[in-house]
Amino acid sequence: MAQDRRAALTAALAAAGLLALAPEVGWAQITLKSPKWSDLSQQEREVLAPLKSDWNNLDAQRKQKWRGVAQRYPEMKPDEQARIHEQMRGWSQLSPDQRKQAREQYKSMNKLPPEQKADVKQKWEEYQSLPPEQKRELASRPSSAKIPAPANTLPSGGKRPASPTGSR
Amino acid sequence: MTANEAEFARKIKGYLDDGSAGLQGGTLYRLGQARAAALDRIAGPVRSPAFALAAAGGGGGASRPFYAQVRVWVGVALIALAGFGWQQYRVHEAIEEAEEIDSKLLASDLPYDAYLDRGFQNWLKTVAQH
Repeated sequence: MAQDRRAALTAALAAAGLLALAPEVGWAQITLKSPKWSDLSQQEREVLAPLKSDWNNLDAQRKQKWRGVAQRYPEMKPDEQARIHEQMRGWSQLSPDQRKQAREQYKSMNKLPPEQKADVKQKWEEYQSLPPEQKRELASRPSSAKIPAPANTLPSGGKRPASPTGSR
Repeated sequence: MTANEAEFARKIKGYLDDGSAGLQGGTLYRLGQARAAALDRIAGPVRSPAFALAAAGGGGGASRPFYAQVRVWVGVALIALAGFGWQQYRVHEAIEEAEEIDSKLLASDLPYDAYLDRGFQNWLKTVAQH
């Protein structure tokens, strides 16, 4: 009977193991709803309007995530809402690896003190004004793992751009 | 058994003998059968609770193979259900985390390009060293 009990335990563990592997085999979405665009509320459709044409191509998990973003949207400031709206479509078209990389960089930068975070924004604007050759040279270097805290000194020349250029 | 208990048992036996002497034959036969069944049950193998759990399921399951026993499958189903529940919890947790980070990242005053631009990260590194 000890053999029977061992066999029963093995069967139970095998069943549990199969389910533990569920995300690998795509079972994770079995219980997740994959709503159509028309299933969304009016408020969700307004917020997620930039994603309308791609909505059917998104998997259930991403749809769920975007609906969550739409729920948070009304609590954001108007300038944050504008930025999120502007970037939504481009962000959803990135590859999973790119999104992962951006999230990692964001998390590491988010650990910086507030004054340094503000400085990063300013540095981005300065970076936009660099000559294309210099940008290419910088991009060709091996990447650093994390965004370092920027120094308060300006790069060679010390000139700041007259106006920010933005990313897009 | 103490002397008092033995005396008490002896008296009960006496009363029972007196009482049963007046019973009819059929009643005595049925009582005899019930006694034999009770003694058989006492004489049977004593099972530990764990063994009883594995062998039960429809009664007399000790001789059945493990896969034919209901409680085994109930146990498998419970473990599988717990595993499935845990996996679903992880999926929802991952979605919630992505939802929070993406909301903040896309709403931040730094465009997402900045987090993907290797040149910018290297430039920040260069600037930080000066």
